[in-house]
Amino acid sequence: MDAIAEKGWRISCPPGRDVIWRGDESVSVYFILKGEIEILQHGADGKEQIIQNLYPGGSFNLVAAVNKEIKNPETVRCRTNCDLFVLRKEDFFVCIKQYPELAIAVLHDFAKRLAELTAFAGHISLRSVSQRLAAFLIAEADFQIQGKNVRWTQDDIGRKIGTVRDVVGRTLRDFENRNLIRRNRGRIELIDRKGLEKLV
Amino acid sequence: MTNWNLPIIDHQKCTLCGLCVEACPEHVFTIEREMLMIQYPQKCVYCTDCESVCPENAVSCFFEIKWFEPKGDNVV
Repeated sequence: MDAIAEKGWRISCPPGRDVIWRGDESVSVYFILKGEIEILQHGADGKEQIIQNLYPGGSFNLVAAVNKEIKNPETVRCRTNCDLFVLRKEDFFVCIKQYPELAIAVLHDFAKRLAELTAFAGHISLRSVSQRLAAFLIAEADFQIQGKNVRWTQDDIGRKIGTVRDVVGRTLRDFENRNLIRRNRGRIELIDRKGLEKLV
Repeated sequence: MTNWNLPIIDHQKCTLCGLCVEACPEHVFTIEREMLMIQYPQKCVYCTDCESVCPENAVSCFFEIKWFEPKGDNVV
């Protein structure tokens, strides 16, 4: 690991900082040491969609390196303060060849992300906004139990589940009227787990 | 203890257009000395109207998402 660490360098990025932009020349691969990352796609109208969230142990821009693509396939943004380890693509390939355990770790990461993306594609195409929002709320509340302290605006939620802020607001009000959730000054409290799971 | 979560203002993005001041049903905002401020935080009901009207995304209303934990008489 020290040999790999010598080839790369660490960077720190504040929340909201774009680490790489889609379409720019792809030069490096990134490993997440600390913080949360958003993988983004943009529509022709500028609408933004969060494709995935990545956490410490995850990596990005490896697809461009492995596929020998010249340009970054996606925009990547820091959701929180992030520490990243950066390797130039050429050095990444040298490390993969020298250290098979790194190659295996990368394969595991690819497999996990592929499974998540497949589920996400099905989610977006086959489920209604209510279903997607209910699934998101359950997953997020369960995630918070693990001690993660992540906060979301309605716009963030819209970008995550593939809709817009106003629709999120209306759907949350609908859930409140059905006593599935309640909102209380910066907190969405999920009251009826069975009711929400039925929606999903 | 009262939960004093309040909208967060990004003063670098804020252009002092005043739309949030007009939109707020509780009139909690004011613009003074060329800065948008929350003058009456205790009146804020976190309706998020300020966030939705801001054309510059300068106002953000964040939510935690948690399972409801009944305490004492607070059982649903």
